[in-house]
Amino acid sequence: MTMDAKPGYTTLFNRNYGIFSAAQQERIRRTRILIVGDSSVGETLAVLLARSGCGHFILIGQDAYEPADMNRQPCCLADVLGRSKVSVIAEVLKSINPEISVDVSRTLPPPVALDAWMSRADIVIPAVDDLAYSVLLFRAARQNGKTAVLCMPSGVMGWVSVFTPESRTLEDCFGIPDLDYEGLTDVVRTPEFKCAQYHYITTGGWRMDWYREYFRGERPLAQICAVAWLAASLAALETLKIVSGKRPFVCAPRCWSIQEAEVSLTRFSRLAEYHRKLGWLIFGGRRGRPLHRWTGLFWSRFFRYWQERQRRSE
Amino acid sequence: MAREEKPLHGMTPPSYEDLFARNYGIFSEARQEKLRRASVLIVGCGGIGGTVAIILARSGVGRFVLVDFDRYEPTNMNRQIACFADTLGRNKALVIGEQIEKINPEAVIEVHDRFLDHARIASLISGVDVVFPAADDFAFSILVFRDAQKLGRMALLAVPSGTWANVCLISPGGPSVEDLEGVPRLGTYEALKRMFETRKYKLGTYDFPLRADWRMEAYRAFIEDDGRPPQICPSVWICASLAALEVVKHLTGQWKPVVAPRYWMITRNRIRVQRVNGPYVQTLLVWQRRLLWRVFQTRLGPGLEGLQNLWWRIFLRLRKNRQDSA
Repeated sequence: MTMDAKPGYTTLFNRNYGIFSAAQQERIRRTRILIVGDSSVGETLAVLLARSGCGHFILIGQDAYEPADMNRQPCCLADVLGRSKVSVIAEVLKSINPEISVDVSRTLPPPVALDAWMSRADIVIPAVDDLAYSVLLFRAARQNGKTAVLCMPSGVMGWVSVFTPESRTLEDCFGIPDLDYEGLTDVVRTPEFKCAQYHYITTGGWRMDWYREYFRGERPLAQICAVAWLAASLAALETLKIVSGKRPFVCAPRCWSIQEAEVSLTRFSRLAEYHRKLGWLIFGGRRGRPLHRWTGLFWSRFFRYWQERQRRSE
Repeated sequence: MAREEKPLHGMTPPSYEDLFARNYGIFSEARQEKLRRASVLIVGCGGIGGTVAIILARSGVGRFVLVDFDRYEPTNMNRQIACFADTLGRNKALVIGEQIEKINPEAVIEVHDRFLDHARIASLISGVDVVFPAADDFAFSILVFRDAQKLGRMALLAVPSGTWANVCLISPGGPSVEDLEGVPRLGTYEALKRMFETRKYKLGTYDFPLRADWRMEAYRAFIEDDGRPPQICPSVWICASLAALEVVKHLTGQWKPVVAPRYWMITRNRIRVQRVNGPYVQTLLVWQRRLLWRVFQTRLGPGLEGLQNLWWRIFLRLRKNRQDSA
């Protein structure tokens, strides 16, 4: 491009100033965003926020691009397959806004080291597939007085919300038991927990065959681009609301909810919350063990019913 | 292209099934195949058109016809998906086409990097499944919508403005874009274009500062000096992903798409499906725009225009004061 000078910040983000005042845009520019994890959510949010004018990013991730990332990750193209995700994202952010600062770390910090990272950021975006680690990130953000943005798409469902140090906790909204990392990892692995993710099928549009293999640990989460990006864009909008201070943001327990490819502003389901809390109370302890056989029977009937239902509709 | 240059660890290039592996958790092989065989015409590859094109490419759609004569400028950086430091000054359709090739090497891409008139675009419409008129110039888009309805093709409406947006599919037999947005029915492109530029019509868009979050300076520039509408990335991409989702719904047949008279109403704090002429603010605006335009054409026109200008001055002052005190 034959241009005398490189375009400056106010030129690049010129169209933002019709929505945000100069002071609000300056707040956006100064915000430090910490994104932990390699999922598509983190990557899409990084691009969205960079294009919105955020100036400081810390990216933590350890994966490299694989062909299967192509269906939803915005920086994944044929010529970066095999390369480290966070380094590619950092390059992309710099080619959006040359004055952007990006710190990259290629190892996920152990749970005890999270506080040090939190203190360097204003907004925390957990984007790991590991649910237990994700819970830990929300806890660490809260303890360090930081605001964390939840963005969890899967299939054609998803949630987007904001957890501040004063809002209700993630554990509370989702009915997650109060355990440490090892405890949570164990719970997440149990078939009982995986059965409680039946909403992947009922509202997330997952196919039964995929879910069965996911259940056995042979498949990752099913994702499609339109829904993953919809969730990420909603999360980016909420982040801009927090940072600019222009509008009240959607704070937990309120949330954006995507269900069966339809989106609405609502609140986390109390039913799901209490059903999980109650379930944990009854089945979680040692005395609940003998009951697992009966619940197993229930779930196998349940899944067979859904398989039959899907087969008919296909 | 990139396949020969840099194969992944010396392996064969990934197949379609590898690239879109995670889609098969949602779509059966037969439905994914429908996406693979589908073709989409996108007229205007800017903020909304370019993003929808990329989402559809990442969903596995197999054939694209991209039309845009415009080049990337620095002010596109805040929202346009393929605008980077090294693509500034390059043609948008060409760059989007290249990116799609790097997403799905088997995708068939037809790029038109020059201005095409309506007759040329109409000849492209009959060869595709879905038409997306996404030109900056809304008058131009409206004529493409009309052609799509005439030729029996499903068209996609996605119009973002500030933090507000409308999204829906326009079916051949259903209501038209004019019905949805309250555009007076004028026959020719020139007449439409002239109408959009008059203050008489523009002042019917007073919901932009109220619901689309425009700052008053931007709205004043839009009314008085033909300024460009403000856009922010998250809102454009919310609109684009919802729009792409509707196309995917339509092509796969997996869920019922939102087709006019139903449409997505998107604002900063609400996203819901509304119905044309339902009990909503939009209905009021639509009828106001249509009926007032009729009145403007009669003898009452000049008097009404004076009144409208007076109203504009009061509105501007009130909103400006409110914005400054906030």
